[in-house]
Amino acid sequence: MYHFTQDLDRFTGSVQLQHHPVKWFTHRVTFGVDRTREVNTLYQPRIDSLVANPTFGSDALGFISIENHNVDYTTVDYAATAAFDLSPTLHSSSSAGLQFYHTLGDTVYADGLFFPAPGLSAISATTGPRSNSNGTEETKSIGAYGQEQISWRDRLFLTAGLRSDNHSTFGANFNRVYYPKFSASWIMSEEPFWKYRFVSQLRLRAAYGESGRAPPQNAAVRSDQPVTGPNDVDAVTPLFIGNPDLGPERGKEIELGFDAGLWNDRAGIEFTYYRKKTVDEILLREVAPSIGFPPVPPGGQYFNAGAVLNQGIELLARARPYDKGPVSVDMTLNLGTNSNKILSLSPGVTFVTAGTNLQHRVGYPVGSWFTKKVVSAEFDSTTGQAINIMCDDGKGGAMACANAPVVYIGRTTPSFEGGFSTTLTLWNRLRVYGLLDFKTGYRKLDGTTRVRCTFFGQVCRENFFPLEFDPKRIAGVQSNRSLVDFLIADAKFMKLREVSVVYTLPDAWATALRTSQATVSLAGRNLHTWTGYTGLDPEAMFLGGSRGGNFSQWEQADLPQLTQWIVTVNLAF
Amino acid sequence: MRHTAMVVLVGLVAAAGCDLFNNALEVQSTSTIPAAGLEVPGNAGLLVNGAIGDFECAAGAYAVMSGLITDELIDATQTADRYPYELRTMLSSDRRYAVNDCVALGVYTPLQTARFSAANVLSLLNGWTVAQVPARDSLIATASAYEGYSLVLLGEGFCTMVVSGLDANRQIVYGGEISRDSVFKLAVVAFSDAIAGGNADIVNMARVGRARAYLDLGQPALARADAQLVPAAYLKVVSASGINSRRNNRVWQENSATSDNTSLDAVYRAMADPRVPFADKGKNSVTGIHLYRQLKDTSAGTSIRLASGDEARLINAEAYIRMGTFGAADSIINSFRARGGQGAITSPDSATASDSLFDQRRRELFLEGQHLFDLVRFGKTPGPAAGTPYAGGGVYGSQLCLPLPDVEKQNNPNFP
Repeated sequence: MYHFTQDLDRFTGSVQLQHHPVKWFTHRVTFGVDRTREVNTLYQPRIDSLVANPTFGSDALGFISIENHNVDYTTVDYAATAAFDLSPTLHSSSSAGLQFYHTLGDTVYADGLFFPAPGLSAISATTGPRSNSNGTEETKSIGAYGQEQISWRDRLFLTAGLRSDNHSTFGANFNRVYYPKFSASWIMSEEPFWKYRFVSQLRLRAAYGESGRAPPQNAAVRSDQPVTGPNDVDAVTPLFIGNPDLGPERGKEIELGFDAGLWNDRAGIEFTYYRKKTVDEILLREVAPSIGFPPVPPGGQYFNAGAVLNQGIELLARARPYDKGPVSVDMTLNLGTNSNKILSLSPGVTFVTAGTNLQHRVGYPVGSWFTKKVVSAEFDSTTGQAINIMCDDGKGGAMACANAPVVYIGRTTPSFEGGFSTTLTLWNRLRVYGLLDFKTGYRKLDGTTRVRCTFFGQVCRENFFPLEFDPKRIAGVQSNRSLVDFLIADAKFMKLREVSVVYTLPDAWATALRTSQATVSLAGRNLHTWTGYTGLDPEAMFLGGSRGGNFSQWEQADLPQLTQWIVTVNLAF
Repeated sequence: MRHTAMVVLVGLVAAAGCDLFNNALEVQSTSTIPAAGLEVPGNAGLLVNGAIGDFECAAGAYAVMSGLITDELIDATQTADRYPYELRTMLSSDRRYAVNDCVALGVYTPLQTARFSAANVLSLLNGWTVAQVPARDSLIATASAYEGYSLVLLGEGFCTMVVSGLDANRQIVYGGEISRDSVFKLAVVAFSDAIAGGNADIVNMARVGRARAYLDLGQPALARADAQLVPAAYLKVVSASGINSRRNNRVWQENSATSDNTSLDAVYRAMADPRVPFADKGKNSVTGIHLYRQLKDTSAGTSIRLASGDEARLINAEAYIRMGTFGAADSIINSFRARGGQGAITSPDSATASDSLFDQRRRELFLEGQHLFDLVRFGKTPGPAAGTPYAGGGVYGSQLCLPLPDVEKQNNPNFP
């Protein structure tokens, strides 16, 4: 009944001109284009046999929507490098460049309801309400940089640089910004004193850099939207409150780490510790509707939060534990942690709301869940009701829920994630691959349980067999939506993301097929999920409406990640 | 050769620079208009039209919202976050009523936007001269009248309210929480400004609006003073059209031959009154609610009555009753009863007259956004009674005003 189609054309291309006027100097200019043309169509044909069925109702009368989305990225990148040997052991490389980025996005949407007869599919053939919209987004930025790198015996590298950016979306009260960077890298294993032969290469790294992110288009400007007014005359309506003080965010990041190759590179470790303090981080907040502007997207207000701290580690370990004759086994483990905390917001402001049950609050991760939290309840089997319900008072104690404050429930982004993969290769022809990945340390709003327990006939099991459940959960179910902490569930999971088998056909077969190589593969994806999450799937997202986004952590009646089986035949000529 | 290549390269870079870097950071803004360029005297009419357009869309959503809360409409959808309207159990943390736009049946934000749009253009007009804007006084009156109606609906629909404004430097001044009566008093001020400078159409609109606000404030004598000045044939509407969804008649959008979103309550189906026309759709909704469609708003372009001589007469009758001269209300009530094919009555007491008037108002002003506060003023409760199970799930509550939403309280510095 529902036909979703997407046509996608993409073209990327670049032209680079290089020039070496003298041996020690080179420069180049690169023109790049990335064009995407996307057409999304949703078509529901009219089906007369279903019109009288209340399950389908007017849906059976048909619907068509077409969205054309075009995005063009254009870049011009000029870079020049002058390289000198300052001495037999010291080398200098000086670079400077100029970059221009232009992004132009255009979306045209139209839809129509109700076809008068089966078989029709054009918007012009609909007889019910129609709507259409069109929007263009354009941003430009110009950046220039200079960099100096000094290397000693190709073992020690020191780099210093300065970058300057200006962007079309900066607020009226902001202008060009500057970002410095410094880094050092030492290939310790190249030193004469290195004696640990099992460590075939060891590189130590340290870097400090500043980077920025520009606000979205028009985020700084108070602006209105054209609309059709009374009696269909021209009119406007408030859209963005804007923020003339909005400027770029500035990230100041320190990275420390090492790359090690062991036993002639049969194993390797890449380790990085990062600590990034972002000042003036660009966040989207809701606004009080009484100031006349839409409080949520497409409205809301971008602002520069005082400071946000991100830190964590990234670890990649790889190894070939078995490699004998026709059999080899490769394993890769990657892990990443993230600790995220808002250090300050605007002066005098300790929190702003960021969506349903979401806040940006000082001392907590960006976009955290905040709601009343039930800490104790009892169940009265006579009345079938939860009683003596107490909530967290935010000070380590408990109080009546009616006047209880909202408290921190959890993160919306994982604090720990990673993956583990293994590849078994036989006779260089058969490759068996498996990938497990996981995410933990975050919570998701289980909207499916929400509507099943509190609406739609209240059909969830909690309403029929309350004694099977924690009275705190029953308190939430019976609270008429006022206590929802039980819905913001731990979403940690581990997934068998992929198992695949790839077979490279014998050369004789490939030759018979007049190819240079032929492979056949079978891959299964999303094969199993281990999770305690109460909703349909910890990766499903419910977007759109007033709950749109919610950091993608609102799940309600959405398709989970589907198990897929994919057969591929690959012929190389 | 190298020299030639160098010249070509520099030439290309220069050409790129001329073409791409000329006004390098200027960008197109094809769907939004920066306020700085918009808020100029030449756009005064456009801005006032914006305020009217914002109000008309908000008023349509309000008519549906109040229809759902009261017993006019029954929600027949499967959309769970609409149900708190129907169930009369809206929480301040609920989002649809608080942040949705008018097409999606939000009411708080659309009405606040309408109020702000009017206040904003009034602030601008007060800073411009007649030489800059020849129709300045007329536009001030018009914007004031629509600001007044936005305030009336905010006061009638919500238990408490926040009215933020602009200071002399046009900077936003956040309001604190105020009572409904305070909102109605602000509406009276706005309507008075409209009456002071408007043409006959705007003056009559403001008189009906101010009379309504006075009734809501419990000041029937002042209400009557305004109402009796309104010509019987006067009519002001919330315009609508099929040009786009924002302009559609919202009642039609939610209840028509092509929309199964709502049904009609038994109380209205039993009236057999031409002012409450309806038809049986002959089918149930997916939630098992039998579907009836109203025949009053018959198309996307049907306008909804906002203020009229008829309403002024009903206000006059109510003022008589509130002032203790209920007998004087009977002739007005009977003129409306005749429209419904009902015989004349003679009220034996004030309570009977009040009940008769309440009944005539819900018939005459069916699905016009009046019934919600009528229930409050007349001390009535709508059916189904609190505690009755709803077919979509849950049980009915008793809420007749919407709470001040969390999105206001959590983002307004006047709330701790």
